[in-house]
Amino acid sequence: MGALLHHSVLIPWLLGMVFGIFVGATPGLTATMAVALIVPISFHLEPTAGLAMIVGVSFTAIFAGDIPATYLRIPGTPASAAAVLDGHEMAKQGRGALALTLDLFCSSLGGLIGVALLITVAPLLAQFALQFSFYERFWLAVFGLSLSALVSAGSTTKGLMAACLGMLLSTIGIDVVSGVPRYTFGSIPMMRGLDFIPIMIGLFGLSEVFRHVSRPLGTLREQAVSRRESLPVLEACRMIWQQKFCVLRSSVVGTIIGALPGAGADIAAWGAYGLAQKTSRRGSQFGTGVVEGVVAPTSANNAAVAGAWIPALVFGVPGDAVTAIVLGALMMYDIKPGPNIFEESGEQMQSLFAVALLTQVLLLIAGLAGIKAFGAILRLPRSIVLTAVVVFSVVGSYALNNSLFDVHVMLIFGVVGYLLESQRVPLAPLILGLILGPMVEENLRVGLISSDGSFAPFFTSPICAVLVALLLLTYVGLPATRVLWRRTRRIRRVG
Amino acid sequence: MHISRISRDGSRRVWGPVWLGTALVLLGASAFWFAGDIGRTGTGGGNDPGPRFFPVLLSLMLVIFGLLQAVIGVLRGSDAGSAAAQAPGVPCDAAPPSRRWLVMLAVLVVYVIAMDWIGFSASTFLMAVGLMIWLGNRWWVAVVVAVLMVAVVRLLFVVLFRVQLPAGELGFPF
Repeated sequence: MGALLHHSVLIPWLLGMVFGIFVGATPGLTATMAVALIVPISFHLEPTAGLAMIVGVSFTAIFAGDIPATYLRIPGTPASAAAVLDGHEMAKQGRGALALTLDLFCSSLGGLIGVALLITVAPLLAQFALQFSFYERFWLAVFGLSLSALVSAGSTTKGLMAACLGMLLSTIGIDVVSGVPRYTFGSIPMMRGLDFIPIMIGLFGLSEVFRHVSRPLGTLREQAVSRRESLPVLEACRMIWQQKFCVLRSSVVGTIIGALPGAGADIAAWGAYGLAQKTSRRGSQFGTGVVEGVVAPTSANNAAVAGAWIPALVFGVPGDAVTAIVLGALMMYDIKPGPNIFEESGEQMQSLFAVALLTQVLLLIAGLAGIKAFGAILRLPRSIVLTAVVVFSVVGSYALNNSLFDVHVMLIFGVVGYLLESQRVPLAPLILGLILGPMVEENLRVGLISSDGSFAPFFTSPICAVLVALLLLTYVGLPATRVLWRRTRRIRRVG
Repeated sequence: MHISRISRDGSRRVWGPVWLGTALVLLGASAFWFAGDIGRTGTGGGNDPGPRFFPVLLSLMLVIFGLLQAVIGVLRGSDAGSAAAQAPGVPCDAAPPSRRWLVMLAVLVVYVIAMDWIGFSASTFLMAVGLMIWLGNRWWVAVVVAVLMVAVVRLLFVVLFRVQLPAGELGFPF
């Protein structure tokens, strides 16, 4: 713990959190983009400081998205969309500072509960996952990919298409099983495959810039609700105490939803909001500035960030795009996610958990400063912000390997990301495909080698059978039930 | 990006999904074609489906998804078009597609090429000034911010992280 409080760790950590506040509070810039831009910088620091920076940014950016959601009715990140409803209504009633103080404390508490659940559940799940062989790991990766395609924004077909594209991209380079080059076209940089980070920066950083320049720019000050209030910390604490069960329930729900592959903090926030509305005595008043309507989604979205780490660390299957980047970064720090992670990288895991817990405390400091500094963020012309994003995208991609090839890759994927999103193709399955592609392929091929070419073991073990059944239920059972239900309703209506 | 075209009967057809589908079919077909160059030999063993198996499988899946997307695009595009034509008060030229991102892309391509010639600092300064002026900033604000941006990047990456940023073939000292 002492090492974490050393200035060489603490300063980049806090700076990373300030950066997270800035990106998260700027409407249109996402938490994913914040993490993608910070990763190349973090690699130049000592591992603990680098990890602290990445973890700090991922949690802070999600909270920071609630600030413009409250004052401007524009969610800073998709995870803050549910917080808009009651948060902005409170701001219109002159209680914006109270809404944001509630946001901040609930984000911190949600994060703490989420990390506590992660620390408790992940080692137990890892023990169970030790039983997994090639066959189970293959289905697990397929299941993660399919689920991410199913729950992503846009249609499932487009999600699956993006996942296939990501997996195809993952085949570029030297094949790890046979050592044969694939799609390298004689290029030396292509031999080591496409680096994950420049692709991330292109997809989530540069594509945002393309999207922003396609519409009128300017500052957002005119739309802001008045912010001349002091932060009512004591009143917020009293209200949170009154809503303690709502905070606890929303955090647990957020962690569980976050742990499902593909279901990120945004879905967790909406899930917790819906549950709070159903169980509250004031359910009908939700959307008019109700405290539970602020407490539930903000507790859940930060808890989901921690929840998404459970499958990422234990199975190597990331829950969402942010966790996918964190997972990629962990691999670069020689931490290999999987059932053996607690045996092989026990010390690093302990410091990772300590960082995640302390981040929730530091979030209070960075968050209070962020709320106060929001006016300055609004005054900054977006043209300057976008230019800075371009410069940092380029230098971040270059600095990874001191190679312009990575800059070219980033540029290409900036265009790809922009074009795909303009057609409502979700990018998260593409990233998951890129990460999980090698896991799917290796386990399929090595599994076939060890079973003498038989596909039977892929279906006969109990865990495989459960995973296949879940896949069938998701892709055949649910749509069939939906069609039957619609038909029954139509018949009843006609009758 | 909203790719649409007004047909003779005044309806607007949305071509985005068709283009997306076509692009995916072409990409999948190219990947399938080039997968033929992947060697059959490997150390995986007799039961290994080989290094070609997975790329071939995925490229075929991309072709199928692309075809599906294109067909859906053609069917829905015509529906959307006729619906738009029937809907009263829907202007045909509503939400014109913006091409500003293409200008931005051209700027970035020139920037990356220039970086190889005149180095990181000079090319970044020129790109940042040009981009900020194009996006509506005053020239002196653009110059000051660009200088600050280059200085911050150099301080962070060159001084602190010891990254060797591209010096350029012309060998500028910065």
